[in-house]
Amino acid sequence: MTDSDGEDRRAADIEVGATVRMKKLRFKEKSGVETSTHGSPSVESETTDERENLPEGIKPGETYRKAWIKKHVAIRLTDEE
Amino acid sequence: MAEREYQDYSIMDPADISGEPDVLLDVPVLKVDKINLEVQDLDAAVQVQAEVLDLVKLSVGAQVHLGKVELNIEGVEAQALLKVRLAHITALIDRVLTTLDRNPQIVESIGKAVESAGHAVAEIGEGGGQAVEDVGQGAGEALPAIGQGAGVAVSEVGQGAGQALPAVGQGAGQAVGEVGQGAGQAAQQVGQGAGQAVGDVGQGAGQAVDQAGQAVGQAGQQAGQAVGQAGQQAGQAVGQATQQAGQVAGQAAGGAQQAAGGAQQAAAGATDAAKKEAKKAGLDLSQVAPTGADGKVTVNDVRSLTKA
Repeated sequence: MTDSDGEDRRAADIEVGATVRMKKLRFKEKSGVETSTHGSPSVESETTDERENLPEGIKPGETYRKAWIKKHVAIRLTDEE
Repeated sequence: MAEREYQDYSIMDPADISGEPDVLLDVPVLKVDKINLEVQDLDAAVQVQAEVLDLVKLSVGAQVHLGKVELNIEGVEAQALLKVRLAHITALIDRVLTTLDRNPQIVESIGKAVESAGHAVAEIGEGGGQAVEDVGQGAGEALPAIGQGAGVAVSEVGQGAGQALPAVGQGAGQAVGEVGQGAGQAAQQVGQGAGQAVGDVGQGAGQAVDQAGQAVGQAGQQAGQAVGQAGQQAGQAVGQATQQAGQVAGQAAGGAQQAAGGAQQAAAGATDAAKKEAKKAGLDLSQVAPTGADGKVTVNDVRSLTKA
């Protein structure tokens, strides 16, 4: 597998991805979302976050239309001890 | 599958490992018209964990935490994808197992290390037990010492009380002796006047109490002997006083009874005329010899005596 830097990399051990499209979205209050990765002896992870019509800091009570968000997390064990 | 199970990953080029996932969860399209979502502290996690004894521990995972979410969504289209590849993890484990298979002395060394660890743990346990035993022994030694100290203290208290009691006894003994003397003197004077005797007894008792107070102040000097003497004197004095008082009182009472009996008898055995004559002459009818009927004193008996 070749990454964006042109280096050969093996496929991730775990990949989690989700895409959500919404015509109308409204948060009643501000939420807290945390995404984390872990592993031993050591891991490396890649997280991509793409979105449209949905800012990072959402405002409670505001309605967002035609929003789109895509989240992808890839984790792999490394050979470093 | 048999070829794959026994495939030797240890000598396999990682690049040759297939990129196809071993676990695949694919939600291509999920459409929902409307969602009213309200969650709090929601955790979602995916993790792969592999262990070979205590030699190799591998784990890898991801976690998403939602604090509090309350939202309304309309016209939702969602896609989700989960891929888990075990090839690399399997290759690592297989490489470890192959290494152990080709170098069995490693397992022996590990066994010895585990055995040493077991001994160490046993020694720690033994040391702990001995420590507890020492603590118990220390506590055991401390308790008798405390008991001995308490015993000495109680003994000293008892000794002090013992010394104090004889002193009190001495004072009390002297006091009783004085009371006995006072009582004896008072009893000897009973014949002279009962009221005076009672007053003397009270006075004697008062003196005895005063002397008892003085005797208490002299505590501890002549304890046993004083008590013995005082008790003896008291017994003798009280005995004598009681005896004498009884005799005197008995004699006095007897004389009085006799006198009263004689007067009554004389008055009853005389005629009325004889009584008048005797009264006129100032005679005691008991001194007149009766000659009348039934042993009564007559007028003539009285006159014969006055004439004589």
